[in-house]
Amino acid sequence: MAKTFYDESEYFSNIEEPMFTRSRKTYRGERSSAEENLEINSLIVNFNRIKNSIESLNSLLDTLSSNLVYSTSVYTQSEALNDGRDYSIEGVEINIDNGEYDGDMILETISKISGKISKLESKISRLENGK
Amino acid sequence: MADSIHTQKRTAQYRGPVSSSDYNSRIEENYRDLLYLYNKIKVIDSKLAQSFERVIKDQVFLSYTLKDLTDRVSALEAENNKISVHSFSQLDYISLVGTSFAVSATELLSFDPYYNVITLPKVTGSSSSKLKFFNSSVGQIVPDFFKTVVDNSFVGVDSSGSVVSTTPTYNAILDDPNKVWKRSIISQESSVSGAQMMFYAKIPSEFTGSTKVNSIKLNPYPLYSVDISSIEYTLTKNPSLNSSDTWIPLNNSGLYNNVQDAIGKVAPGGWVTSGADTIYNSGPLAFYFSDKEITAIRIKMNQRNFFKELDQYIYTYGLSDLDIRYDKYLPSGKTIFKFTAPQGELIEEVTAVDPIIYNVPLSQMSQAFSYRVIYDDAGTYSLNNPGASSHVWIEVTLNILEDKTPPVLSDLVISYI
Repeated sequence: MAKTFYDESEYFSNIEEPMFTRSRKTYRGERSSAEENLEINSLIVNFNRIKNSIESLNSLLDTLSSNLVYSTSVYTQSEALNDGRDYSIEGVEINIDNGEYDGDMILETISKISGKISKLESKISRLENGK
Repeated sequence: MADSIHTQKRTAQYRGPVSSSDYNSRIEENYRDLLYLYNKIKVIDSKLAQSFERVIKDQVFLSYTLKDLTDRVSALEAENNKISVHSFSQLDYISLVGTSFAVSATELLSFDPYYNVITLPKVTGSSSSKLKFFNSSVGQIVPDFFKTVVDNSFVGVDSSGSVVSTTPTYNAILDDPNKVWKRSIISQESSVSGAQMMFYAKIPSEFTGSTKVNSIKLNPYPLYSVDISSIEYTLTKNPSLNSSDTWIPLNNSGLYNNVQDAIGKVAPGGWVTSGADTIYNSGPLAFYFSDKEITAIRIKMNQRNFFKELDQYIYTYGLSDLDIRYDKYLPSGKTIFKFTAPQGELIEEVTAVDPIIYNVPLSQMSQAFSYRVIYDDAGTYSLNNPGASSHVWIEVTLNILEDKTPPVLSDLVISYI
């Protein structure tokens, strides 16, 4: 998958050529088994590449969705003490507000954000009711 | 090329003529299709990257905004000389290991930051879910006896004859973040009543061997958009999963009747004034109660919000998680919270410690909850107040009630001078 934090599309070539041998036949011409075999083999290589790319995309989607959302049924003790699970994005750092935070980019999962919102809601409700 | 491929079907005739131009055309068509597939994957990869980049960057700053809001609420509390628990990182029993205040692993209170609850130590081996079952080789399974009913005989867009798009209801009990039970109603017009339904779920006692239950957890979907106006249970053997069964509000004792802060902390449908305890735009919910022989539950849900697409009004609601459990608890447990004085201030004395517990009547609070204030007295943890501290620790003890209700601590607020 392309890097997530800057736009590389300008560096991509627009068209990528598959590995494909277009063996052409001539009217009443000879049949070359070598050419035909090469054609079939390169087809197989291309189909495998496409298949692997699709599986890679599928796996990436699963990873990203489960890390962004994350099931809450399996918090470890240390995750629970941290209010939930975080997901760090390898190789990316973030600087917040001129030094308030400067380090590895940690993403809070939706589950963790939800728990914090719920806690905040209760406190605001008590403050509104003068408690 | 959008919906069709270039490669055309050709049927070769047995011993029929072979045309070189036909052959060459087929090769060209194959090539063009391959070229399309190759580059389409790259396009999808790029789109995926851009979409996730946007979501991720937005999410990072949403988190920081939430942190800012938390700090502002802390500041508002401090104006009244109060400090509460803003994070489970304030659980600081580790610092007192090796001291006379050390809490052993077996007596440590259990806590869940998603539902924001702290309760008694759980005996894991004797605790089980009534809906979620796992097989060591396959993983989670949905038993045949899992039965649900959706009753949509209410005023609003979700009614007999409405256009419904739904995922299976058993998605609600699957521990897969990609599986959600969502029911979408597609309507030609909006309705002030929104979409309403009563969701029934039976406890498959044939599989569990027992119908004894003491907690219910549910996550309405989408989060913070669905109203939950009642949660009820039945003791009827082999319930029909309709209104002919006898339904009892989960909060049948009407705990904290009309206390606004308790909305969302007590199961709705139990207060005297109907609807007064409705949880509007509900987040994740967890309710703990004394043991009950529950054979089924029903939940009244209402979605007032809609999306509009191509002149269609789409109301979506459901559950991203549902669990009905019997958890065995130890009769008592402890934990220790650390409270830090606001910047520039010191805590001279803790004048009050108020537990926020909504499943225990006030008359029984002293049985369910007790505390001690621990100070750092020149490097030694002590009950003696040195006079001014930047931190104090509160040791909290919870005890199970006589009716076996496990007290649930939602928050702890200290007042100080």
